Amino acid sequence: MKKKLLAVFIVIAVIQLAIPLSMIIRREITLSRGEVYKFQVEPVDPYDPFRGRYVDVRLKNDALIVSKDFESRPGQKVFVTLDKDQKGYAKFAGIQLEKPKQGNYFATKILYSFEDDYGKQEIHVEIPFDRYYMEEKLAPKAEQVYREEIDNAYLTIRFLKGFGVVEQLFINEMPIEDYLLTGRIKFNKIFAKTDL
Amino acid sequence: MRKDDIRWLYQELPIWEEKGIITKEQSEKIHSYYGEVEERNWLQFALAIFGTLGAILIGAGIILLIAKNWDELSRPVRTLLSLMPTLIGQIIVGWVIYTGKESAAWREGSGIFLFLTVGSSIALIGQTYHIPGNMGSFLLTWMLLGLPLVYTLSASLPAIFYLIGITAWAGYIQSEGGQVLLFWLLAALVIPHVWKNLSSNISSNRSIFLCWTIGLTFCFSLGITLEKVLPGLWIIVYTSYFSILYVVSKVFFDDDGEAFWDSPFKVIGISGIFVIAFLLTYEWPWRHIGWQHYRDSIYYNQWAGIMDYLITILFLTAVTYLVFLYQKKERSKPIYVMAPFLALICYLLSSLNLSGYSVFLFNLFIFVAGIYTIRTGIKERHIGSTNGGMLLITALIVLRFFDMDLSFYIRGLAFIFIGIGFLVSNYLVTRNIREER
Repeated sequence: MKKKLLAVFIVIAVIQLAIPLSMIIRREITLSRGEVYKFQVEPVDPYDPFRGRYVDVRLKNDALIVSKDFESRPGQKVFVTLDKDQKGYAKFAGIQLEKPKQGNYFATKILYSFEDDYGKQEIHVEIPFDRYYMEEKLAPKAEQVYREEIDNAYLTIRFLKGFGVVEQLFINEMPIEDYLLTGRIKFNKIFAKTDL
Repeated sequence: MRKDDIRWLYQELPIWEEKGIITKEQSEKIHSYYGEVEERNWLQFALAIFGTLGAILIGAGIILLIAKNWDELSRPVRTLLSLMPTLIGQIIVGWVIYTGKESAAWREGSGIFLFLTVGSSIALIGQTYHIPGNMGSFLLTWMLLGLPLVYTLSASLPAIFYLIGITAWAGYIQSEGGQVLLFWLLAALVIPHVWKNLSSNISSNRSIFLCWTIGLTFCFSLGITLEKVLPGLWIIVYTSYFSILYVVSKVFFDDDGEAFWDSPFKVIGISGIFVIAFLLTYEWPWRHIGWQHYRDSIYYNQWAGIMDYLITILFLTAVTYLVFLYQKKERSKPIYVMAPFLALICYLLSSLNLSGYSVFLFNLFIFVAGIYTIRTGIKERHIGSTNGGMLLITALIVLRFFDMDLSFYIRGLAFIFIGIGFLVSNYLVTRNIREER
């Protein structure tokens, strides 16, 4: 009986490890083989008691303009396809109900939509890349820097087979952690003033 | 008979024997009639409490430590570290199972420790890979991975934690506009554990602990899981729920006269019935309810709404059956548990825009219940009941006196009627007692 129970527990223990492991593996594969997209962002800084501190990131230009014939209802599952503009920044290319056969995309659901003045429909989807975790002392500073450098900030996300993983938050082409740690903030402010 | 009374009796028996009041045979007969009073093992209980508290503190500490993001560590190291707490927890639990430790301290403590570390591992991975804050799927994964511990360790603390966790999950999902039919399936998964404990010893510390948690978590989860497509069904569901708890305690627990802590269902049941009943003496719960106010916006899932009807029917059936059992057993009048039937009638009345009657009927209900309680108290010479009844009626009077929704005219008349009712019932009770003498 004891042996049987131990055997059952070992199976459970394996499952308890397998689920977090599968989360890790899927993301590692995406990070190593996925294509990089640079998204422009806007951060704020809330506090989540379970997971420490993070920068709440919001992708810019997150609305999709489609013809008003596209039937959308809140909560509907959709696929958003991706593209890059001339400056190399990522943008949402389109929205569709079927899984795309090629190119990069991610699955999500519609939050809300409304018709604009030009007979088009503006759709807002839930964006599953809304957090950038940081060391708890750095996160509030990151937010401050972010507000100041909002035009020079972007978030890289890697995509592979419809799965996206947030990779790095950049400020002035530098990872935000490095930017904060190397004391570039002061230097930059002086630089900005002399520039005027 | 109360356990304390039996204990007292057993202390007295040898003295009575000595003095020749009863023979040794008679004493033994009395002993075998009442059976052994089970003494609680307080040392074991204390050990279990401190053991589990320690485990919870350490588990929570680990969560806090890893919630702090270690930026200096490389991703592979962090990944490895994130799995460490779970691994440590598993080794401890594996060891407890392997050595066949029977003590509650070890089983409960190691179980809750592993449960917490599984959650911390997932949370840390979420942090390492910037996984979006999806509280719903996080809680659900965590609870499902922790649930098997309830059975492999036959530990109740993980079961209690699981119940609280799935309630939080349901709350989160409902707040996001989703539907939570799954909750009932998830809750059903702990039933075998609860059943096993209650059937082996219904008055053990463990059973009482489980009953408190179940009774209280369901107070919340019922409100959360109701889809509320048909508004106001909570009135029937909650009055039924609390009545079920009360009657179950009367029929199966036999905890009459037991202390507050020892009779969870009775305490939750009776307080629940009257808290809801007092709410229902106001007009606001009866406004805008019934099929004329059926909701069909996107926030209300029509299909999930079917569960509301099922719960309502199931609860009403259950309470009817239990009241039937109760009456057969006790032969006393089940006044308090008439609340759900009264709620059903009032619900129908209010659906037909006759909510004034509902308000009146629930005021009457509390009044009658109060009088009945006072009467039982006098009859059984039980001062607690008498005071309880007085409290009900006093509370009712105070609430109505300050009720701004009612005009002076209505309040005046109501007070006169209540006063007359008081005098008449007083007269009847004293006449009964006099006749008995």
